[in-house]
Amino acid sequence: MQQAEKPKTACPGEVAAVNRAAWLLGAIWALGPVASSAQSPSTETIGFLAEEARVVTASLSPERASRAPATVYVVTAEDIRASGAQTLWDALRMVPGVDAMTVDTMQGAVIIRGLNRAGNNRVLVLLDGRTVLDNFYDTVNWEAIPVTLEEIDRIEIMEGPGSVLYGSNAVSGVINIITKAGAQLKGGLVSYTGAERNTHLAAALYGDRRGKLDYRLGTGLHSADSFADAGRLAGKTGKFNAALGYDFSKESRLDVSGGGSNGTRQTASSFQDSSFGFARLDYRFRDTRLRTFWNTQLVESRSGVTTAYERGNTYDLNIQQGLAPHADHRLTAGASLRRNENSSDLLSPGTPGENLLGFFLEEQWRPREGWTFWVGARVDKHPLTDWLLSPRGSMVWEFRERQSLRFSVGKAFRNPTILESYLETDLTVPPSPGYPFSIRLISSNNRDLSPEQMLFFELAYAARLDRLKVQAEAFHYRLSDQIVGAVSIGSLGGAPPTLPVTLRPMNGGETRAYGGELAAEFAAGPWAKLFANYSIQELKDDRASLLNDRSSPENKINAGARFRRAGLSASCQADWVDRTFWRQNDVLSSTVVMAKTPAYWTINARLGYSFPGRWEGLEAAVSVLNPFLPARVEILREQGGEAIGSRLSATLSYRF
Amino acid sequence: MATLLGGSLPAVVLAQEAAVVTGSELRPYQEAVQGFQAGFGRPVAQLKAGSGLRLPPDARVVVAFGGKAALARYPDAVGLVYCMAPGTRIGPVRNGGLRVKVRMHPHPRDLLRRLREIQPGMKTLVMLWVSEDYASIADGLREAAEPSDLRIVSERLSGPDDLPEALRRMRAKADAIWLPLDPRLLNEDNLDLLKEFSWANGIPFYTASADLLERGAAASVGFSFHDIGHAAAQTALKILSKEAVGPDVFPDRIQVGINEAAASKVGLRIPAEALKGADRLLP
Repeated sequence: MQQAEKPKTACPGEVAAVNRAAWLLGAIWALGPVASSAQSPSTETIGFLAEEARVVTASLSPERASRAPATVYVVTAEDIRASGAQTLWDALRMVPGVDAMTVDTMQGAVIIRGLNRAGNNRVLVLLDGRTVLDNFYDTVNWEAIPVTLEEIDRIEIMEGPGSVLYGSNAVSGVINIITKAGAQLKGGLVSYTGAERNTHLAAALYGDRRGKLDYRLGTGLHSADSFADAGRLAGKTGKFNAALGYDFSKESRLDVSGGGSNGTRQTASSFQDSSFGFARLDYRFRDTRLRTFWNTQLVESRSGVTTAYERGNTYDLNIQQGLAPHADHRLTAGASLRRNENSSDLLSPGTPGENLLGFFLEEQWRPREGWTFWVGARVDKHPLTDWLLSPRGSMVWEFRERQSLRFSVGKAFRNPTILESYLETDLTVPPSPGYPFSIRLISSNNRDLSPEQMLFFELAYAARLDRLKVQAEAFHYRLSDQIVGAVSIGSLGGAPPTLPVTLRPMNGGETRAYGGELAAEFAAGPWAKLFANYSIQELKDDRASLLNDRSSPENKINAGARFRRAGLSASCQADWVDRTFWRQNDVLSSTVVMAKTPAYWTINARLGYSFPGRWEGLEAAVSVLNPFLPARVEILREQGGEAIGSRLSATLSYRF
Repeated sequence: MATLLGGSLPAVVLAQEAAVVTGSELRPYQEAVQGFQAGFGRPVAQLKAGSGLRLPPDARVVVAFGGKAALARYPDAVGLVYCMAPGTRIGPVRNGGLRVKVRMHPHPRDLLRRLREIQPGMKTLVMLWVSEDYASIADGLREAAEPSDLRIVSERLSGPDDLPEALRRMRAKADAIWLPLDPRLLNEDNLDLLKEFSWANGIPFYTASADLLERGAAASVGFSFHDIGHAAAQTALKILSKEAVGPDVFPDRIQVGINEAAASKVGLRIPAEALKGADRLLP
C-alpha cells in the first residue's frame, strides 16, 4: 500500500495519536449498528440494492438531461405500452409542448409548440436517424412508418430548432423514433389487438444476438373502420422491416437495414394507395460515422375530380466526425449530400432532381465546472435558394447538484417543397349546388420562393430531485417568410361559364409566439410513476390570412399515473386541449370564416395482466379510449378532421 | 467521547486531501467505509451526499459510496473513486477529472474460473441483467469463455418484471444462471422467484454477494463490502501519490461462498476442493 501524504495540520506525534483515536472511534462506531441490527445479511444486501435501484431509477441519463443544448423529452417503450396507444401519434400525446391530433382514424398530425395544421411540415420526423418525411409535401404518413409500436425502444422529441444538425424541416422540433436492437429483443413477440369498429392490429417480431451479429425482423398489420362512418374501411397498412448489425470490434460496427409498408387510406371523399420502402447502411469506426440510405415511395390518390400519382426516390449520404482536441472541448463536424428524384402528374414536365448539400459544425466547450457552452452552425444549399446559415448557441449552467439553467438561441428553416416549386395542374370542377358554374382551378408553382425561417429563443430549467424530475421552459420564436397559397380569381366567362382561379405559393407573413411548458414526473418506485405537465402558447400573426394564431391551442394539460406490480399493470392518462379555430369556408370566398373546435379531453386507460407459471410470456390487456366522452373533432371537419369517438380494445401478446 | 476516553484524546485531525461521501446510512455502505478507513490508515472527513455537500477546500480525492454519492457534482480537479454504485456509470462528459470505479464483481476471467471450479460440468451459463453498465461484463464473460467449450448466453431484460419470462426461455438452455448485483433486477420478489425456479428445475443460480446465499443461491463469487472499501482506499492513496490508475479497479480478494443445501436441492455436486477453498459455507 502506498504511504499517504501526512495531514498538513498534524505533527508526526499527533498523527500516531490521531490514528489510534480514529481506530478506536471507528471500532466503537462500527459496533453500534452490529449490536442493534436484527436484520439478516441478505435483507441488508437487498436493502442496499433497493437503495441503489432508487438512485439509478431517478438518475437515468443524468448528465444528458441537464446538459443537452435543447429541450428533449423521451417517450420510452414502457410509456408506449402503458399508454394503450395504437398509433404513433397517440403515443406522443402526453409530451409537453406537443400537439398530437387525430385527423382521421388512420392519420394524425404532430406539431410542436403551435403552428397547427393537418399537414405539418415544420417538424422533422426520423426513424433511427433517417427521414421519413414524404418527398412531395414534407409531411409524415404516420401509418406508413415501417415499424410497429412493439419494435420501438424510445422516441426522442427535441423541441426547438434543430436545423443546426438536421437541416431543412427541423423548424419547431425533431422527433426521432429509435427501434430496439436484436440484443434487446432476445426472442420473439406476437401480438394481436382487436377493437371496436373492425379494428385489427397484429405484430410479429423476432430479434437476437449471436456472437457479434445482431438481427431483428418485424412485421405488422393495422386495419380499421372509420370512427365517423362505421362500416367504411378507414385504412389498412402492412409493414415489415429487417435489420442486421455486426460488431467488427468494440470500435467498429456495421448496420444494414431495410423495410417498407403498403397501405390504403380512404376518407369520405378520397382514396389513397401508398407504398414506402427504404434501405440503409451505417458504419461507425471510433468517432467517425457514415450513414447512407435510400427512400422510395409511390402514392396514388383519387378524389372526386382528380387522380394523381407521386413517385419519389431519395438518396442520402451523411458523414460525421467527432473530435476531442482538449478535455474541455468536443467538436462534431459533418456533411450531408442528398438527391431527390420525383415524378408525378402534378409536377411540371421535366421537373429536375434536387441536389441538397449541407455542412455542419458544433462545438461543446466546458470552460469550468458547471458551465457548458454549445456553439454550432450549418450551411445548406437548395438548388432554388441561396446558401442558408442555421446557427445555434446554448449555454448550460449547472448551478446546483443536478439542477441546471439553459439559454438557447438559434435559427431554423424549411425549404420549399417540391410541390411548392414545381406543382402545375389545370383542372375543371363541374358546377355544384354552391357554384352554378364550372371552376377552372389552376395550380401554379413558384421557383423564387425563399425558405421559411424561424428565429428562436429559449430559457429552460431542469432538475432531478431524488425521485422527482422537473422541467420548465419558456420560449419565443418568430417564423418569417412563411409559404402560403395566394389565390387570384379571374372573371367569369366563356361557354359554359367558367371561373378561372389560380393558386400560387408565395412568401409572406410573420408569426410571433411566446409560450412555455412545465412538467413534473415522480417515480414512486420501480412499480409506480406519476406525471403531469402544462403547456401554454400565445401566437400572433401579422396578417389575418395566416391563421396560425387561431389553430394552435393556448393551453394544454396532461396527467397520468402508472402502476405495475407482480403481473398486474394499470395506467390511466388524460390530455386536455384548449379550443382552436379553423378556417371553415373555401378559398374562393373573399372573407375568412372561422369555426371553433371546442376544447376536448382524450383519455386512455389500460389494464394488463402477465400470466405466471406455464403461461409465462402471455399478457392480456384491455384498454379504452375516451370512455364516457362524446365524439369530438380535433381538426375541423372542413380541414379533413373526423369525429373521434370512444374505443374499447383487447390485446393478447406472447413473448417467446 | 473524549471525556469517555479519559480526556486525554487530542482533537481528531482529519486528512484534508481526501473525503468520503456516502449516499445512505445502510449497513453495507458502513462496512465499506470501515474497509476504506482500514485501508487509508487515517481518518478522513465523512460527508453525506445531498444539496449541502461541501468538500474540504484542500480535497484532491473523493471516495463516493453508493450511486447517489457518485452522481453528486465534484470539481474536475478532484479525483473521484466511486464504489457500491452498481448500474451507475459516470459519463465521459465528466472527463475533466480522474474518475475511477471500484468494481463490485470480479473480472470476468476470474469469475468464470471460480464458477467452473464449483460446477466443472457447466456448458451454458446464462447471465441476466438490466442496467446498461453490465453490458461490458457480458462481453467480458463471452471473451473469457471463448477458448473453452463454455457458452455464455447474456440476456438484457427491460425491467425486473421480465425475469419470469426470461427464466422460462432459458429453462431448456441453461446449466447455471449468474446474476450480477443489478439493482434494477434484484429485489425481494425476484430472489424468491429465482430460488423457486432454480430448485424446481435443477438449475443453480450464482450471485456476487455471499449475503444472498441464504436466499437460495448455490454459490457466490464476489467481493465483501469491506474489501471494496479497502480497494477504494488503496486507489485513493495512489491518486494522492500521483500514481497511474485505470478507470476500473478490482479488489484483490475474491470471496467464494457456498450454500450446500441449495447445491443439494439442484443436484449440484460441488468438488471437495471447491468446498475446501470456500470462504463461507452455508450448510
